[in-house]
Order: sequence, then structure tokens, then C-alpha cells
Amino acid sequence: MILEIKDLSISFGGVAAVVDFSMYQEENKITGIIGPNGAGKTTVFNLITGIYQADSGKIYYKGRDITKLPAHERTSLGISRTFQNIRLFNNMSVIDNVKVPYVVKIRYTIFEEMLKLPRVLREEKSIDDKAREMLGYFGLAGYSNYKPKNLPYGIQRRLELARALMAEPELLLLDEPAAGLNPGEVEELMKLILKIQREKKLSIIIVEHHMELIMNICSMIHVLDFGKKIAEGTPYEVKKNRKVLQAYLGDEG
Amino acid sequence: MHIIFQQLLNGLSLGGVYALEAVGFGLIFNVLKFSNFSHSAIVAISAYFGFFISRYLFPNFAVTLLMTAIFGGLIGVVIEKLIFRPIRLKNAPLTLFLVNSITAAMLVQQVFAATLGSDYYTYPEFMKETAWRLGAFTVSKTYVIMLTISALVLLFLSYIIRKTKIGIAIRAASSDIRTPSLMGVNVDFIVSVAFFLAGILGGITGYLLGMTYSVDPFIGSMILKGIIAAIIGGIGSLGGGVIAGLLLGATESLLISQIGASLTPIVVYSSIIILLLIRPEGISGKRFIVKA
Repeated sequence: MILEIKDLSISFGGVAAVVDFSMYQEENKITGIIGPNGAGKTTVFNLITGIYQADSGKIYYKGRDITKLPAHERTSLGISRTFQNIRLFNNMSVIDNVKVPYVVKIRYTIFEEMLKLPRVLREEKSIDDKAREMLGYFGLAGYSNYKPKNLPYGIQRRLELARALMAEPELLLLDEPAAGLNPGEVEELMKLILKIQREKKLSIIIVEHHMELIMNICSMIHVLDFGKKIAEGTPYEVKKNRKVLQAYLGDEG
Repeated sequence: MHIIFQQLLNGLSLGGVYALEAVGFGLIFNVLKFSNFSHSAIVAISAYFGFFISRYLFPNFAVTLLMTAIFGGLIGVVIEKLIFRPIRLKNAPLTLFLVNSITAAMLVQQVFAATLGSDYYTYPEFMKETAWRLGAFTVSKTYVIMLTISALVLLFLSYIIRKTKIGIAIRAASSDIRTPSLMGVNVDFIVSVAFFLAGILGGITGYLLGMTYSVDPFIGSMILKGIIAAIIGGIGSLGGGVIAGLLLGATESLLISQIGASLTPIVVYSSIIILLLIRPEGISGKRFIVKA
């Protein structure tokens, strides 16, 4: 088990956003979190990554309590994510974008850096090689010197994924990766997620509205409604669940 | 003719200091998106610091300049920790950052006015010969040194921002300060580094201004020209700020020699207003929404 969440709650100005949410994430598995808009799915991600601090409850990552850890330390432990609204660094080139999560892993001081010690030069080359390799892996090699905002939406989504993997995560959180993609691109994305899961040995949690994607690639699904978990199970179980149908379709469902 | 050339050189070297100010101001604006008027406090404190150490401790130009630069950087870090970090961690609105920065600037000004305000402090004469003669031209050593130092410092900073890993992190934070922490970047540390770098620029600005004129409690208000240069340059663009700073310095100097010192500011300020009416994004051409 790579991640364990126990009774996590947070409210904003008296409004409960997530209430007593618990889940396990098995290693090398893909889990989905679904639910209507405003159900608290992204909030769960923000709690796992440390953007928000939970009011109560615990988060364990590989057995370690990370509930109070600042965001950047959680990333260095191996948790990485993408964003619902793409958050690329638009003033930087594509290659510099993917370097951001990797440069912090390199340990040398700015003084060594300015003196251009041989070790630093080697490290610099390794950062550059690693970034190019990652862009190549995602078929983005040709865009190295572009600014992200000038690229098509689908490419930007892939670039975000490439950047998230540069942090060398073990747990990857994907926040609505299919948003804004056309059916063909969703198909590609599904294959891509399965490919990176297998090749990079990742545990993945996906928040998504796109049911086909969730049902096809997740082994376990959690359903949120108004901040509470109303169902969990395999895609088949969740599809049959009456509460889930009600949450999505209203009482007539 | 050679008067104009000399004015141009003097103007450029003053413009170099404006450029330092513009970049010191712009660096913080880029990362935290507010107008950091407390930069003037760093300039003032450093100007006094530079005076005291060069007068009483080491009468050596290079040593005291370096010490003042580092001192300015540390003051920048302290100011950030004291008045900006607490409100940043509480997600305070940008207006509050602006208010804090102006208050800090005025506080420092008033403290100096109350304690050291009765006197003008003049830096020691570092160079025996204050001018070089090149044929018909007389070139002030101070001005040449000012221009050279500004250029070196800005090149150094540009290298750090473009090439080093800390520079990559600063640029990422400038683009979107919420996101780098999710890439493993310690944003608090990056903000400290940005204030340290801006503080170094402020320290050198204070030293050069103090050395050229003399030190009084209001020396910090001279960064207003740098702020104007940052805005003309296209706030958010450090390179634009450098060009605008040099242009502003040169224009001022030439105008003073042609139409006099009292008319010059009027012409300069009205041109700036007209320029920004025509091109609100500044000369660098980057569209950037200015908040607070």
C-alpha cells in the first residue's frame, strides 16, 4: 500500500468540502475518483499534495504520516500531479518547464554552480539529457524551444504529464487529464496512462468526469458526492450502484 | 559636440543605476506581483552602511562595494521575513503587500531623518584623479565605474536567472507561484533568494548613489526613476527595464544640457505619461496585467 487516507476532513468558511474521506491506494494500481461537480475531488488532491492542510484525519505515504508536511517535501518523497486547468510555466520554454521538478533534486550550491566545477557541468548535462529524454518519451522533442501557451491543448496536457514525471514520482495524481480533449485524443491518453503506469511502475489516482476513461483503466473507483464518499468498488460494482446513479442523474435515477 | 557626448556618457551611467533599480524592483514584482517600494529602504540603509564602512573601516572601493552589496542582500531577506512572509502565508491581498512596502520605506526614511538627518554624508574620495582626459573629452572616472559596475552586475544576474537551477525556479515562481511547490520547489526559499538578489542590486544602487551624490535620509526616493524605468520597460520584463533605465538616464542628461534642469523633469514625466497611454504594456511589448 503506497497511500492510506484516514477520515480526512476539511471545510472552507463553514462549508464542508471533504468529510471523513478514507481510501487506500495499492502499489502499481490505477484508482479513480469520480463525482459530480463540486463533490470535492480536486480538494482531495489538494489535501494529498499539501496545498491544503486537513482540519482532521491522517494521510500516510508509504507508511509515513505526511499530514502536516509542506507541499514541496511531499513532492520530493515521490508524489507528483497534474492540474485540472493546465498550469504550465508560460514564460519558460518547454524544455525549461520540464526541468523545474528535476533541478531541485540536484544538490549543489549556487557558488559551485558559478565556479562551473566539473561535477556541476556533469550535473547540468544530466539535467538537460534527462529533460530531452522525457520530452522524447512523450513525443514532444520537436517542441523544446516553444513557449507552452503557443502549443495545441492536447500537447500542453502531454507536456504537463512529462513535467509531472520529471519529479520521478511513485504516486501520480491526474486531475481531469481528459478535460478538453476530443474522443481520439482521449483514446490516446488512455493508452499513454497505461503505458507510463507499466513502464515507470507508477501508482496512479485519477480524478475524471470522462466515464469511459475511468471505467476502462481503473481497477478501483471511489465516488464522492457533496464531499462524502457514497460508493467504492470495481468499475462494474460502481456502475450498478444505485446511490451513484442518483448522485449523477438525480432522484429519478 | 563633445559636450553632448559627455552628457550622454554621464546620462548612461546614471541610467545604469536606474537599470539596477528597475531590475531590483522588477524581480520582486515578477515573483510576488506587487510594487515593492520597500526597495528604497534597502537603497537608503545600504547607502549609509557603505558610507560608514568606507569612511571608518576600510577606505577601499571594491571591498566596501562588495560588503555593501551582500549587506543589501541580507537586508532584503530580513525585510521579506519581517513584513512580507507573514502576510504571504496568510494569503493576504496584494494591496496589503503594497501598503506594507510603502510603510516600511517611509519608516526607514523617518528613522534616518530623526537620527542622521541633520547632516549630509559624503563618501571618501576613492580615486585621486576623478577624471580621465581623452583628447578633447573629459570622462569622469566615477561615471565610467558606475556604468561598468551596473553592466557587470546585470550580466551576472541575467546569468543566474537564465542559466542556474535557482534561476529556473525563480522563473517558474514568476510564472505561477502556486505551482512550483508541487514540483518539489521550496517556494519560501525561492522568495528569500529573490529578495536577496534584489537586495544585492539595492545595496549596489545605494552605494553608487551615495558615492556620486551624498547620503541623506531621502536618498531612497531616488528609486522612483528606476520604478518608472521598470514600468516603461514593460513590467515583468527585466531586459526592458534595463533598456528603459539607460534611455531614461541618457534622455534626462541630454535634456538638462539643452533645456535646463527645471524644465527637464516636466518634459520627461509628460513623455512617460504619453508613452504609456500609447503603449500601456511598455516598450518590451509584453502584455502584462499590473496589480496593485
